Amino acid sequence: MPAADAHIAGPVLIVDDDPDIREILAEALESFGFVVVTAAHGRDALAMLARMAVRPSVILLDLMMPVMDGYGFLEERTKDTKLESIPLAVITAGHGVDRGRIGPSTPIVPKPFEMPTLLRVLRALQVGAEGVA
Amino acid sequence: MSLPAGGGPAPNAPFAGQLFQLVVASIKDYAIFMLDPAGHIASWNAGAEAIKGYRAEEVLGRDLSIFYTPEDVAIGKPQALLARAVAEGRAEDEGWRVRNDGSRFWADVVITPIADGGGQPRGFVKVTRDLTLRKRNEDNLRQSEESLRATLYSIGDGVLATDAQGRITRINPVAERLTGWLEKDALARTIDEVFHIVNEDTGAPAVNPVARVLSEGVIVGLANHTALIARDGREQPIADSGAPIFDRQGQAIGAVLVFRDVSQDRRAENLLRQSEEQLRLMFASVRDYALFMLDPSGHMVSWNPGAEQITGYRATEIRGQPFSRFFTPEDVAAGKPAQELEIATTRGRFEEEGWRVRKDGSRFWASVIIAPIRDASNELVGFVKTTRDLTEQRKADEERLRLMQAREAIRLRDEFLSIASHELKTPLTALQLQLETLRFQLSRDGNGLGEKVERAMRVGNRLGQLVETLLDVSRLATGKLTLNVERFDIGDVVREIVERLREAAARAGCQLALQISGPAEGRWDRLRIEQVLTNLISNAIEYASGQPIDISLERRDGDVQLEVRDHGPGIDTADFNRIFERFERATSARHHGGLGLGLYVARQIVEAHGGGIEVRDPPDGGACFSVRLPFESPPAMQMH
Repeated sequence: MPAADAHIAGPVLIVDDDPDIREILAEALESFGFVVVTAAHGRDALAMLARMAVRPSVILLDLMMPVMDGYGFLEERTKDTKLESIPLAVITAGHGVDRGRIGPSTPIVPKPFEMPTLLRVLRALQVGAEGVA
Repeated sequence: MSLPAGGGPAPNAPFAGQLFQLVVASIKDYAIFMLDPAGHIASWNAGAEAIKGYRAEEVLGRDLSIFYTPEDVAIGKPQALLARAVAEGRAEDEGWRVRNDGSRFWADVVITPIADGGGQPRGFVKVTRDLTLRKRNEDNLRQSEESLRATLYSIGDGVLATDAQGRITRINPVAERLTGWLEKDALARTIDEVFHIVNEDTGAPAVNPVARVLSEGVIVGLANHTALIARDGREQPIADSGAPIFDRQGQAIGAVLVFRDVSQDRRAENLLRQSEEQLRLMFASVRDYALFMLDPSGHMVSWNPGAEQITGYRATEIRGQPFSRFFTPEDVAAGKPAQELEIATTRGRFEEEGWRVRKDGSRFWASVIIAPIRDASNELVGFVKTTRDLTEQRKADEERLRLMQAREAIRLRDEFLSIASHELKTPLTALQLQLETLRFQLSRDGNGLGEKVERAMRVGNRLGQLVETLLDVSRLATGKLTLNVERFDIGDVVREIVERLREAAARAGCQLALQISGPAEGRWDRLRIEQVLTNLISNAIEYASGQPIDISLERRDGDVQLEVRDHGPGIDTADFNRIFERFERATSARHHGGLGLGLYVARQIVEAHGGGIEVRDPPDGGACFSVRLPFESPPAMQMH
């Protein structure tokens, strides 16, 4: 796999309640040179974002989670412009996604997915984010 | 005083005078005595003794005032009568007199002065008759008359009395009002004149009952429908009866006619008849309800067409039959018919739904209400029973219930499927990612295990697709699948999917050839379009391995036309429609895995976009799936 992906400045924040997914996805992304941090749900992610010294370059957000689900996190995100500027992709095993609450430009990567698919999305988001930066 | 005392003849009287004295002495019904000119009693006879209670020796020489009441004496009545007798030659009086014992009697008194040859008054003859008895009779008669009058005049009915010739002798106020004749005008007129009656319906003169009463001496009731024409021409329906008046000898000496205005009765009767008629019509016109009456023992009394329709019995065959006839043998054995009547009687109503039996033995589901009918004295006279045939309704209810249960079962199944699919996909994701990482590491190390991991990944992919499809089908069944429409160039999606599947195609020996004729931007659900395309290309790879696959995208007739054409064995035209159905596939399940749901889901997705999907068999072999999509999918269109 190309090591070129490692040029992404900040870490990738994985928000997913499934520990296997968090662990394996983190490992896979790390193998492509990404720095990865993980959170178990929306509330956990918000707490982590508040603590982090370095802003994540991208957030991978699961939708169905306990405590605070993906939609709840997206709502909180809109209240904080700094947070809102972090590129985000939804990774979900559900089909009944509510595009209205996710936003028209947010990519959705349905589970299960293969790494090339996810990498393409990450690349696309990084381009967008760099454009803004 | 020259007249001798006592009843004896005066010594100097002539023979005629002696005879007269004898007669006077023997007369017992009249007190006959003489008074001297001053009014002292000068003679006394047996009648006087009998009437007044004085013997001759007690009374002779006393003043006549002893016979008068103190009140009369006080006003000088005795002397006044004597003076009147002198003045007028005679004085007659009727009034109370007093006997020796103080009791009073009603007397008729005549006093006549007696004059001598020279015209000098010699005294008076006083004849007194005791009229007490007569007076009592007269009083009684008067009282009786008064009481009769009061009775007649206060009676609420009209009363007319006639003599034996049929002439009016009495007419009471009610009769005056009804006939329009006042008593003073009606008296002595003939009954026909005053009591003018006709047949109410025909107007023809009616026979006056008085004539018959008088001629036959019988009580006669008036014919029905008689109207009385009053003096002013008013006509009013009456009811009457006539009776003869007999004397002691049993001779009819008159007739009495009692009659009354029955307009009110008639109105009430008419109302009753009308309401009965309405009720009867209602009863007869109701067809959806069996309405019938039962006698107190539960036997059929009446029957309407609805009852005939529902039970199949005609009125003639069911009347008089016990209503247990409609019960099932089990209910009859359990004593239900009697219990129902018992409950209706004690609680005022019985209501239930249950099976009943028609004449032909078939059963129907009946809604039954039984209510007791009581007369004015609260005596049970029977029951009214209303029965509705709810068999169809019950069937429909049961059908509805079954449908609801089936729907609920489907909903539960789909919900389960949805959750199960979702739960399956999460570990599947982890598994696939793990395998992918493993493969990457193995390819670096090159220890020969790569091929095995590769196979595990393919199996994982297939598992993932199955779960995906399963979830889609369950979503489609519950109608929850909605389109998330966004604007994009479909060519980009086609290119991406082709790239994504290129490696898998190569493994199957298939070369993917892509032809896109220019940009095609529109509004669709990107993930769904990806899904359709992935499904079609994956199918081609699976069914036509080793052969090239051509994918093309072009605009056609204002739509987007997407084709996936393989060069495999093709599809039998007989299967063209079937393959898009649920759980259908063109080849046997032994050769290929999967549930046969992929094309079904693809079709649902395409149709939700307002497009169509079809398959054809090109002349040079293989299969060609073509998808037509409008650029704008219909808004808010839901998959179903």
